[in-house]
Amino acid sequence: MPVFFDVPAFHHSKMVNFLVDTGSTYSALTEKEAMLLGLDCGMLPESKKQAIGFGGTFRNKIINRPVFLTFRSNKAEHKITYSSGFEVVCIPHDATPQERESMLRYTPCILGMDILDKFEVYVDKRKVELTLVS
Amino acid sequence: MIAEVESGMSATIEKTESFRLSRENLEWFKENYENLKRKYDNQWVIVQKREVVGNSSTYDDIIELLKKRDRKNAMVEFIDSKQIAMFF
Repeated sequence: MPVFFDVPAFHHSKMVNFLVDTGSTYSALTEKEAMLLGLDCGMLPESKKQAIGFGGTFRNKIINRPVFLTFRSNKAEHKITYSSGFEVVCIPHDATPQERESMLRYTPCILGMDILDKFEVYVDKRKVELTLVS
Repeated sequence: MIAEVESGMSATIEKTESFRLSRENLEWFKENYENLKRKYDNQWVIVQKREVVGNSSTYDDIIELLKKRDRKNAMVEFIDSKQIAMFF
């Protein structure tokens, strides 16, 4: 799902494609998208949360400034302010170059329940269509 | 006051334009994925203005290519013809 990701405090914004994951309690940006957004993962503070996947544990960082997420359809626009620190899933320092490449290739940005809870979510399996109603 | 309003309007227009361009790139990428798989399988690509403007087999190399371009509204994706099963 395309979402406009805006961090006004850092003057960085970008369209980010998120995977909608109702099984995830929180949302997260990947190191790849953070970097494309202009954020340096090394400069971000550590998060208390950890993410596990691809045979290892990611180190989570946090964007400790307000983040604005804009959802837009042909008919409407809805903006969410996320002030509680947006998670960034970063590659661990001890990852081998091959592991790092794999993690960057296949780790998606996640739209979890912390954001999906703000919408009514409808899934039409026949059309493979997901509708968020604010 | 007028400068603030103009600045706000300018930011809104920029965001709308960025949204439009990014969505166009994404839709183009999805529509052309089968062709892209044949041409760029197992590679990273940079998509801008509905075309591939750079490709490389590693992330570090594609980022180096991206640094030489205006990265605004650029989309960087990895293309893989193999189907990947993901478990969350």
